Amino acid sequence: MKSFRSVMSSRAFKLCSIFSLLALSMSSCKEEVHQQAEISFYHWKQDFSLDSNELAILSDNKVNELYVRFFDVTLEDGNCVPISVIDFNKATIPYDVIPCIYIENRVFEGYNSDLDNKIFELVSEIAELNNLTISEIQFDCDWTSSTDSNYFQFLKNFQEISPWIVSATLRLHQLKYPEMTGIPPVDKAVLMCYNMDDIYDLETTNSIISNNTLLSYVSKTPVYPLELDLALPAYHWGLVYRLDDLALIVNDIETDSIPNYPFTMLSSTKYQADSNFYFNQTYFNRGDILRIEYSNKEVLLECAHTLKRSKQSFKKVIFYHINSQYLPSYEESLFKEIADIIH
Amino acid sequence: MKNRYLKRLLILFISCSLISSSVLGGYYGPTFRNSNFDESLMLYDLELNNILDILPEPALSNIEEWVLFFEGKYDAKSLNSVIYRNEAFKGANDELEKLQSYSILDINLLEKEEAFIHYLGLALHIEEHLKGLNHNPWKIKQDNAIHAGEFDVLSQRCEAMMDQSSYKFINERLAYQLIKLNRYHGNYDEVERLYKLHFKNVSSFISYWAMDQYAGAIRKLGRKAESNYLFSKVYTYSPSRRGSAILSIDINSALDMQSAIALCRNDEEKIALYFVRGMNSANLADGEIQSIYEILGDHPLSRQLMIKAILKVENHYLEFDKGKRKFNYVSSSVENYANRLIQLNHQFIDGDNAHPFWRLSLSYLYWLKGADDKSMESLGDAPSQPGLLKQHQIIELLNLLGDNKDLTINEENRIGSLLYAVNDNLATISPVFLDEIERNTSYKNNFNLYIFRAIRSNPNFQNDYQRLIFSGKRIEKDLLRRKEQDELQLAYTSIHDEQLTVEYIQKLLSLRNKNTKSKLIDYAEQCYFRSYVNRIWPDASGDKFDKAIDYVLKEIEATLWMRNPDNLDKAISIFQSIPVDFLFPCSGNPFEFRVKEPNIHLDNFPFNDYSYPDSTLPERYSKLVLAEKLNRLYNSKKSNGRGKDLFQVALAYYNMSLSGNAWKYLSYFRHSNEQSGNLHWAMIDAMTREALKDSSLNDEERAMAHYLGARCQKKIFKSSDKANFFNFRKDFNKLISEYSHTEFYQSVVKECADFRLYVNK
Repeated sequence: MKSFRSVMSSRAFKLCSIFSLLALSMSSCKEEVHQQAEISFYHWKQDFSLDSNELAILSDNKVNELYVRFFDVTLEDGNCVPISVIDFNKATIPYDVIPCIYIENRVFEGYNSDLDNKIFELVSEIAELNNLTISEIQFDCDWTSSTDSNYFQFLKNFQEISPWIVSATLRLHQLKYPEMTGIPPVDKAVLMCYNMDDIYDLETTNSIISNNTLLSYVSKTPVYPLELDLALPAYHWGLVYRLDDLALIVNDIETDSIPNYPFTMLSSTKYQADSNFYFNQTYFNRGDILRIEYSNKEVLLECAHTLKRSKQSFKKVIFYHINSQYLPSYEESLFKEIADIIH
Repeated sequence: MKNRYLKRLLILFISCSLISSSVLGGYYGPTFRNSNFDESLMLYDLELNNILDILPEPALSNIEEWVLFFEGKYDAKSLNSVIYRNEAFKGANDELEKLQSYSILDINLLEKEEAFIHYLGLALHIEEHLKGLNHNPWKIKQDNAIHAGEFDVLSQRCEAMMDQSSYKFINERLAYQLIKLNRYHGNYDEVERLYKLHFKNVSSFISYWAMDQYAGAIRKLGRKAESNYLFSKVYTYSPSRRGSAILSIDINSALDMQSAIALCRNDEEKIALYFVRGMNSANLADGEIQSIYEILGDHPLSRQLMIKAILKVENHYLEFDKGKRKFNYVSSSVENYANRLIQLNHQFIDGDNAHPFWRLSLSYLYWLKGADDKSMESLGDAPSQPGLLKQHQIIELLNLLGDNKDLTINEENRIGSLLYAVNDNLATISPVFLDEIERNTSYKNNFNLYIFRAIRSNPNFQNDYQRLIFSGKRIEKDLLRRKEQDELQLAYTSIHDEQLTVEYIQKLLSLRNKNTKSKLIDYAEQCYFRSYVNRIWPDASGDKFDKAIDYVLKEIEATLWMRNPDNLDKAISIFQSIPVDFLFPCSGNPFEFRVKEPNIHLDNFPFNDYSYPDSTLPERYSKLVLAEKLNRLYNSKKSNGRGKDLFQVALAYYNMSLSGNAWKYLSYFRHSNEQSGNLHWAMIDAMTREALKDSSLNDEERAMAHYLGARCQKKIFKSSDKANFFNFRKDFNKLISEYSHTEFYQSVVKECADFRLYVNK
């Protein structure tokens, strides 16, 4: 494989080097102004809980805000309904909580005129019951050309009824092709830099994050016309392929236990089930291929540099998601390091 | 809106309170007739009536229970209308009166009828109450306290009615209502008490509904293993609750499974747990088939799981759209899976008294993998049970057909016989036409369709007649003989290679009568031409049907001749040679001049009478009568030089074009997007010009002829790249400069927006 440098002419390389030095000196200037890059995490479980490891990570990274998934909105019998509503278990939360609402795209295939009110009231009720003060809300919806107008209208309506700052997630293709996908009418957006590659393809190396894929979306993309935060992955999972098709996703898979189960190792990230058995709350069938995918330090740093070199600037870095099982595998300073690169 | 809501509510009520069977959920396997290994055929003989939902109309099973309760006094349809209705409960007396008005037997069942009506009223009330309890998903704090008083009243009514009722049938349903009421109010211990009191060791239809509620309640009490065990029983023995039961089963670890198995009282219950796990849509089920085999040997449940497994394999080995196997392209994981299934089949076959099913499934698996010899070898003798026999016939047929095989006449005959046999001797039950398949996606993977597609791609079936009857393209659409690409795409496109021609029809007639017809061709002809012949001779069969096909084709040939006035003699001669039944009159008057063009969207079908929204039944001619009239007019012009007659002919041909009100005389189909059928604008234009040369035309007629000429020019422009858009102006200018004094001119100004625009320019 050719190195990045070898494919460039020497003149281009010199020019790049000059610009890089210039950029470096400018970023050094920035650092003098900003003492600490802002870091946050998503909390994406139905039962709110933070164990001592997670609290330590939040504390080490001076996290003030948590992006907490409150509920998802789906369609049941044609009606919009919230599912998997969060249970705070009467916990006292020493962070500013930003509710995140995932709305399935199909919800906007028809327009539900009072969805904005319903969500506002439910979020308010959850906040009131748990003594939370809300200042911002984030909507996550992978809108398409057939749903964009309804989704955008919903966002506008929501802003009219709520006093909160409204942010929305942004996929990479939506960043690159705003003229085709539209720009959500919100106060700010969060660029989701994960779930980048084809999860359904057995041959994909890592669908969570890939610097090459990221490059193809951000390298020449103009500045996005909204204030941006950045969401980066800090998770791993197991993808189970059965008869060549993706059959199951095993979240937070216990990779250390794999040798204790009847798997044949096919590569460093791929295993084949030799019989039928339960593992990680999942029933594996003989012949299943398990692919483990990570967001490891090297790729995260590579991507951080790519994003730094892009035309976009990000105010905050939010890691998906706070998880004591996986996060301790990162070096303690990694999140700060990434945030400092991005900032 | 209100009524619709009420209807939905009532249906919900009925389904919950009167134990209707609901449609099975999506977890359960394949769609009806969606595979070459046809589950619907196998069901007849697997004695699974108590396990699998094979009832054609699930709602009727509940009604049928009530029919039995009423000793046949009311038929299912009447009870259905009493139960499934839009109106709310009107009070016991009215309801009783209504029920009794449906009586078909003169027997006195007043006590039963009153018990039913009272139960109905209470069940409705409970349902209304539960609806009020319904959790508002958009609220965290639910306010159910206000319903507590009503709960007490309803519980007491249930209990009182149970005390008074002497019918076990109704008492069980009341007990079920009480259990449900308590469950929804969170009284889970009471649910357990009531279930044990009323349904312990009961295995009636209603008991499984009660068990479903009980299983849900004990799940809430934290007894996961027990609830899994009960839900698996509900899934297995109560088809109507299967959809919800499988969603409730929560077995995520070996421990969960072992705990549920430990509760089983016998081997049948144990295998039910394996069956449920195997039926999960994601699971491959071979492990479960083996587990069931180890517990109880050859069992109907393992056969059902094998059907499910085969359908998974089939999806990978077959290209339904092309009628082909793709065994060279399957992955090793699919191949390994298929091999494991083959191994399992051998294991069953090698056992004592193996069910004939296993030979069929083994044979089909071998066929899927391309091992045709082994497939035929495994198939064995035809079983006697009708369903299995059909599946045997299908597999034999697939083997005979092979892949692009050069078939002998004997093989063609056998395939044809098998097609008839599999389809109950009805050639018309299979979808043949592409547009029909398009309209109904459930036909997509139909077995018959697979066979037709396989033959269509066989190079040995490529003469024009064979291509036609296996093509799926309708002759009335002028065939639109399109390239063999993606069928579904083709159904939308208007691109075609060739128009329907006289020569083509003559070739078809010659080819179909040339050689001895095989049974396969006979079957395909029946499929293809049945809808055409049925319009004329609905009961035709044998020689009569055979002749009818000739008449259908000859009628088309004559119609094609008729499209050119120079060939009217030939058309008349053919029309005269076929039975008058085939010359049914068409609608629309070809000699009527209308300035407004008819609405093409209102009138796409040849047997409707909707040329104009305002028209009454238009004048009708038979094609023979019309052809003779046109011939007289056309020839009279030749001998006498009278332009009036020729103008009449030109007008008739314009009206008989696809833009006219009488298009049905010369075409069988029209669509605004499909340029097929009679489009001879240039010929009509030429006749108009010829007529205009004749001085005998008066000014009104000349004005009409110029307007008709302008119309033709516009059509020629639309259908040809080389035409000049501005040609119509010559005629419009003539109209303005020379015929503005005519009545016709005034009507054109009034009715033709194009012309008005042109005049005012």
